[in-house]
Amino acid sequence: MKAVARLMLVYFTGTRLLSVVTVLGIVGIVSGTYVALYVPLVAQNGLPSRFSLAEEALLSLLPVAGLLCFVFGAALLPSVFMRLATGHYAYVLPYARVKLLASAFGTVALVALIVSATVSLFYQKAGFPLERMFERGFCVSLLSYTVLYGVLWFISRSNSIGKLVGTAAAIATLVLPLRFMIPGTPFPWMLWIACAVLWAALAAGVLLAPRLKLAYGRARYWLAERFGGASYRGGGREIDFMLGTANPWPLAIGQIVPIAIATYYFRDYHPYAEEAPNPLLLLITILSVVSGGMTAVAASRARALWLRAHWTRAELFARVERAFWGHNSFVLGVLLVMVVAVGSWLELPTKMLAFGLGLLMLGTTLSTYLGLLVTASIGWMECVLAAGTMIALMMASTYIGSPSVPATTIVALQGGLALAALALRQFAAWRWANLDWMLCRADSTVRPAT
Amino acid sequence: MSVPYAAAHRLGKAFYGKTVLEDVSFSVEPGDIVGVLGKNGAGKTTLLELMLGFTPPSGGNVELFGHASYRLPGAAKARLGFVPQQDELVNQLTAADQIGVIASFYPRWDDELVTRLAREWEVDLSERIKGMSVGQRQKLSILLALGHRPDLLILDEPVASLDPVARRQFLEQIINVAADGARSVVFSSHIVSDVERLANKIWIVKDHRLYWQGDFDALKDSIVRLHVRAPRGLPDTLPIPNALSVQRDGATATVVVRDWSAELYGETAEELGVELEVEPLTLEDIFLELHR
Repeated sequence: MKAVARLMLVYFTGTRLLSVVTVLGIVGIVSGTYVALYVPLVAQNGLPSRFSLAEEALLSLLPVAGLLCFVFGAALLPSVFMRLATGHYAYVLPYARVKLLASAFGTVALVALIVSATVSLFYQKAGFPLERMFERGFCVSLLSYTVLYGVLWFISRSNSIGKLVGTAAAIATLVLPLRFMIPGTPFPWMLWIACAVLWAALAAGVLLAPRLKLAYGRARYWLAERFGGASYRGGGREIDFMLGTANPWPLAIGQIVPIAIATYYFRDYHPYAEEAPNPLLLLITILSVVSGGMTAVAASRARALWLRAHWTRAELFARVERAFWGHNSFVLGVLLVMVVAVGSWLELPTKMLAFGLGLLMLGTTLSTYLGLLVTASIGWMECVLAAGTMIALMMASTYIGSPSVPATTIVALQGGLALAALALRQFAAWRWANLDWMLCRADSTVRPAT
Repeated sequence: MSVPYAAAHRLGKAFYGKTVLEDVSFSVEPGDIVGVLGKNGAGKTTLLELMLGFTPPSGGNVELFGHASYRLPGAAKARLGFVPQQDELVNQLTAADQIGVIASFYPRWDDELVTRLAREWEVDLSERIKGMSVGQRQKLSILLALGHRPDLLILDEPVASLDPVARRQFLEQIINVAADGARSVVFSSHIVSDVERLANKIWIVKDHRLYWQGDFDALKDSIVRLHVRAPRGLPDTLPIPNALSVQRDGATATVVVRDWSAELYGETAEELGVELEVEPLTLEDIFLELHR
């Protein structure tokens, strides 16, 4: 019990950032719930309120933000759990597997409990039966957050395509509960069964890991004996191999899946839906920065190249830049083709398509140079630049999807973004010219920060 | 008779048809400090991992505290400590948090000992593990294995990343803490001088077998270098029993033999008409001769 409690505490408070996020989550949930239950708001009951609508909107966001913070407060769960469950500690610590499993289940159940209790209170105020809403919310949350923490671990371990798929899956796990929490609809009992099956499979995987590992090894050996072992067959340039830019196709093709799903989902969405941003354009803009974001690992991966090849730091930057453009241009190319295809099918306005294509090119360019800026650990400056760039891109995307914004404004904004890209390139080149390899070590130090 | 902390009988392990260890038998009694020596790939780590039950043996058996190590119960694990070659610390945590997590798994934990050792070894418990040097991480791994005062501590190359001064002090302290007469330590190392100085039993793993096991003195008595002098020239063949290596140089030869005994070799010298001078070897010499 002591170990389970300690592990759960570490999942939520293992780092200073997560401690703050968890506390903010609890504060947000408590204060948001109090406001929702006891403070009269116009939006809820039409009665006079002492807040403006904008203030009410912010107050309504409090519990949602709190819940999100609380969910992500336990972000250490996947990494600590997997580190202990897959290494020597699982064999050496007393009852390690059982305690680890209990701590993971306890954490996910606690998060699901808090989320479902909060949501149920809101629904109860609207007149729905508390018990039924709580049961529904708990089951769905338990299922989706189990998947979410699994996905977070997957994202931290995987390559670019894995990150892309993982991010899409993480967003899905946050949105999925809403789909099943609609009051008044019959509760799908299959969800309880899915929960039970998922946790039974997880428990079996953890508790029987040594035997499964052994069986897997034997099966692999048996297959290799009969059908011959697999061997690596690769080609291409060394620089691409070292930087991970040799094969852009998994990422390029991988983008098609979320775009196809989103296109199907938003097929009836009006191209100029009032002043609301076009969700499809927003999604594709986000995708345009993914391949660029990969360059954040460029500096640490280029270290071995610099040691071997007799290039100056400036020459190295030029070659790395070229290698990443060789990779990213394929990814961007597929994205552009997809936009044209989807735009033709959905009959999107020409203005939206024309500016949209330009925006995607800018997205990839900006993120490529933002990534190349990362020549040491990620600090405040990188965070601010990334957040600012992302906000500008989202703003441009919203303007493109809005009929009332004149073309000149969009051109001016995109021109500004192009200038920002040039400035970022110069800044990245300067940083590479002064690159300190001591601050730019293994991939593993950059990856968690990224 | 008390149950040995660890015991193996005809233990063997093969990975995918390739033999890594075979026919290994041993026993670790309370108070033993066992140094495991062997070349890279000799099977040292496999031997330790079999002892710990990380993998089932392909043949024979190995027990810890009287239980099959592959199915070691939790209570027996509480008496066991292990330091792997590569640490498995959680980078995001501070040293204190990592200690807290590991301590919570054990029914008993000596906070005082851990705090004292952390101070003596200059491990900053408030530092995040991600920022620690390799040596600091290694020290922290050892602290985690010592905190519950295990009856049997198994260390796989525990001090490889430390400088010679730190290594010497540090290893002595580990042995002092971990082997207080009733406790035992099994440690593998490439650094023969460490093993020679600290171990009271030596295991030498060679050609996938436990080539030698026993007291250090017995090993030194068994393997010696003989300087052979023949006043009228050496015979074409030197039929010296149990010779590990022979180097001839005119009328003299140097022969390293195993299972040396004064009586046997006295008779051999008489038969060959040569003079024999015996030179005892250091552990490093013995190790090198065995792997020549």
